[in-house]
Amino acid sequence: MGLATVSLTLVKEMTELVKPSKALYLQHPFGLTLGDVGDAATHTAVLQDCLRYAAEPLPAGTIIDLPYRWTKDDLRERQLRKEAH
Amino acid sequence: MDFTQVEKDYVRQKALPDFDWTCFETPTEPRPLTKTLAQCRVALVTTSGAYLRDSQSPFATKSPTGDDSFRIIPNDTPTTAIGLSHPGYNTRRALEDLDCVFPLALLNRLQQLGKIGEVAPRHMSFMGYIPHTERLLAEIAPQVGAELKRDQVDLVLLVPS
Repeated sequence: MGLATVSLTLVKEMTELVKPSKALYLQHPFGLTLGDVGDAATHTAVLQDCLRYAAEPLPAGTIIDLPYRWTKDDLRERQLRKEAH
Repeated sequence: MDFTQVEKDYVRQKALPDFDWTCFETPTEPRPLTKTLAQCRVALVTTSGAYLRDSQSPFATKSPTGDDSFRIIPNDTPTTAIGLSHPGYNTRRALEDLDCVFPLALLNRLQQLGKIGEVAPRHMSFMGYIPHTERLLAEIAPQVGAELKRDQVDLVLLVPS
């Protein structure tokens, strides 16, 4: 069957186990995948990156590191330690 | 710190002592776009646990075996009609701005800006905690793929939460 897909991922190690065709990794907290509440500029940039890489031929299983980092607080780090929701 | 180990230990301790990740040896082969983005019909697959408040049941968030069902979200759904049920993140925060986990409104804005051809008429929603994946892989994912094909979707964006 087959469909062209781009997968966002918040956990690169998990994506390396599943091996989707094309993934984009960004270091945001769970539940804030595209960025913070109200941060339309980052949301838009992330979704436009999805579209840009969708059109780009890449080897199977490529995981692209996007430049987005969560700098507001330590929510992501605490989530990754299962200390925050 | 490897989150896959942290999460595996957590699920084993809290819910399923025999839990392990579903892994694949080889990557899925990408399917290239056959049109320009400006001609593509684009759908979302979200694992945010999105559902229609008035007509669909929320996902099961208390079950140790998760919930492998999916919900179809029509593209013209007002964001205020969408609920989120997921045990793994703060859904109240995301409900303040659905684009954080399910960028439905944003994708439609990108269509208006001419960045894509059009938004698909329907999007697919899962709840991300699915520790047993056999039925998902054998039955449900092919069913979702068929629904997207029926809508003549050219590109699917998978958005986790």
